[in-house]
Amino acid sequence: MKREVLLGIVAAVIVVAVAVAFVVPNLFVQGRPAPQEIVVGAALPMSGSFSQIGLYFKNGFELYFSEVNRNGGVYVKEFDKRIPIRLVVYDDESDPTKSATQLERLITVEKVHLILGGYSTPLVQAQAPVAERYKMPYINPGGATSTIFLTEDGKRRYQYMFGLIASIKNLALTTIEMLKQEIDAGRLPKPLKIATVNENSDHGREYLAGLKEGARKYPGYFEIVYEAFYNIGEKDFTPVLTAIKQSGANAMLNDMRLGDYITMHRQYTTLGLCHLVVSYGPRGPEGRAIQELGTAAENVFGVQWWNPADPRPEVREFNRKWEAWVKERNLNLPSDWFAAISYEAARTLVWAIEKAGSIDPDAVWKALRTLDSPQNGLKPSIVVGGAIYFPEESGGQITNPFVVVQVQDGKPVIVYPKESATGTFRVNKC
Amino acid sequence: MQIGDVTLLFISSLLTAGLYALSSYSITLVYGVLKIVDVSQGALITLGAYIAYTLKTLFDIDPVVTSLIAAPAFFAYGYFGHYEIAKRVLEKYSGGRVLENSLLLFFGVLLALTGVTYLVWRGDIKAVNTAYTLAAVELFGLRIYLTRIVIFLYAVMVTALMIYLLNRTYTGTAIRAVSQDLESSLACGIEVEKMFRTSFGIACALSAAAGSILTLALAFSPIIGVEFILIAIVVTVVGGMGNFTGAFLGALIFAVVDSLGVLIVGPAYAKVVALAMMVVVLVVRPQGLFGERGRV
Repeated sequence: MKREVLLGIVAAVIVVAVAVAFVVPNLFVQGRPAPQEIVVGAALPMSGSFSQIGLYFKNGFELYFSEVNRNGGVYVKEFDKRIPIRLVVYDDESDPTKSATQLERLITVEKVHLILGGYSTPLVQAQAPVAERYKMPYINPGGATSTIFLTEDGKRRYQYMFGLIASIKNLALTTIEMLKQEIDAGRLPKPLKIATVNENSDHGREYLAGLKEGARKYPGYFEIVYEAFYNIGEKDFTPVLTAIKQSGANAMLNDMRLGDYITMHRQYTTLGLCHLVVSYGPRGPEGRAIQELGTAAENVFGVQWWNPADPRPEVREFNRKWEAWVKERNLNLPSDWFAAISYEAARTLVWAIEKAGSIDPDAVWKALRTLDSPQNGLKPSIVVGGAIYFPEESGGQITNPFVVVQVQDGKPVIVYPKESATGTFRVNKC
Repeated sequence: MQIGDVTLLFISSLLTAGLYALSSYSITLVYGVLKIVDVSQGALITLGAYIAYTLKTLFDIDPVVTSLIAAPAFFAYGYFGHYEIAKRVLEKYSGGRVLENSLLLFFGVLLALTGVTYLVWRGDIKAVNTAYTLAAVELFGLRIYLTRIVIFLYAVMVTALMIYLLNRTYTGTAIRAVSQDLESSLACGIEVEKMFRTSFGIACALSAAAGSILTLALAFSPIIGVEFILIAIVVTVVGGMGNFTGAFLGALIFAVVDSLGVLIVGPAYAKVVALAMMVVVLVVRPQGLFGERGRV
């Protein structure tokens, strides 16, 4: 009898202990006080090579957070109240090593609740393992190279990475799709003979891979007659231009940085070269390039993630808000994709917090994982295609379309896709 | 390849050599006189480029004119400021390791001045547009860049001026004497300190002028000076450290090898060929193809 009583007491203690173990933490969580504010950290290039873009990103994030705060903050179900949201930026000086360190400091020392991604590809590549290690969802508005998202064997590289700009390969494929349309319409010869010179980097290699994939997809339409890689910062493109001239190409499709594009296209124009179509990948219709190249930039087209000339009403509304924001702060930052995508990154994060009903990184991550296709995407959005989504098969990188923008009469005109177009594509008369 | 294209390539290399030569003169002079490698001249090239950009944007002043304005200002900086930085640290801490310590010191100055450039002008790409940016000169049916012709002629004039200065003036003779035999120069009553200062002043003026002029041909960012100083080191090693004629010829050889490299191995690896050439020169003729030890 005595033994049975003893066993009964032990059993009762175990039951009570188990109950306490399960109930008390929940009581604790439910009783956790709401924070005064939600702090979001970002390691951005506020100085160094990418300082201008860092400034764009900071302002894009802040613009959206200011809109949220004007309405009382982010509604978090866990605390049943609206909480203001604040951005903390650490300068990574455009240095990948510092970028990783600064992000880690934000998480461990500043103890931010959540984070947003930086710019550009090398810096995002440095930050990604940090986010992964601390299991922090990382919405990436500034790194597009596929290697950030996928391993060599096509598997997702980072579970916590969500890319808001489509891959460079897709950029090249968009170029091919648009040119095929022009060939079908009889405005370009078939096959189109392509010469391509690309920066010697993951970016340039992926662009070339995209061109080749596109050429394989449409047999007989395209022939790559010259391909080469150049080192960023090249001072004299004459030998390359001579080789292009020798190749008999009638299209020149390159992937270059802005400085190299200006240097090469000046030499191209001075030497009197002419191709039916000329593109420098994402470069071409920037205001600075148009200003520095003048008439030489005419008909050059670039393939971009976003363009302020997009006629959709939501884009016009964004442009209005952005212009007012920068004017108020006396900033010389005309509306650009850097502004739009960083704004959308902040919006996606706030959406995920509200969907999760929590500021717990794991809950926010789970909410972001539900945006796995265009159908399940965050809509409407000012990104091209109108939805934000992160498909598993692309490693969490959005696969939305690009816009093709051509310099026409000294102004950027969207010529593709049809729903965003503000003009029709022009072929050079050579 | 047609004969016209080969000719064009050669002419283009020749003109690009002018750009490389200009950017290498400051290193050549400082090494020739003080036997130190002043990599921070790269930052002064960058500053020259940004000053040209600013004056063109604000007052529509041509970069060639800017180079003439910037050169005296940078001479003063070199004479009074840059040399003071070098002198104090080198004398106080070198312990006989002048070359190694100068590399460390000037690398620090390079980073600091590049940082200032980022702070003032930010890191985005800049370009200068003049009335003749896209102009070409027709020569036997070949179109040749006018901007590069201007740069080349400028480089030839600077080379001639430097050769004249060093060989036909008292200051130049004194600088050469100091570079060849410091102790005898002191014994002869040459103001060695003044010659060191003057050399730094001229080097800084040359860098600023080179930076202003290169904006005629290239878009640039704050790292442009770093890129050029690396080329300048190759050019001076190939031509002969401390030798102006050698630097000019070294620039020419580098530009031609670089162009041929593009045709043979492609643009991505052309610089490897040019750098391999530098290694070969260092092994076979350490003083450079046209260099004599201790000569300016």
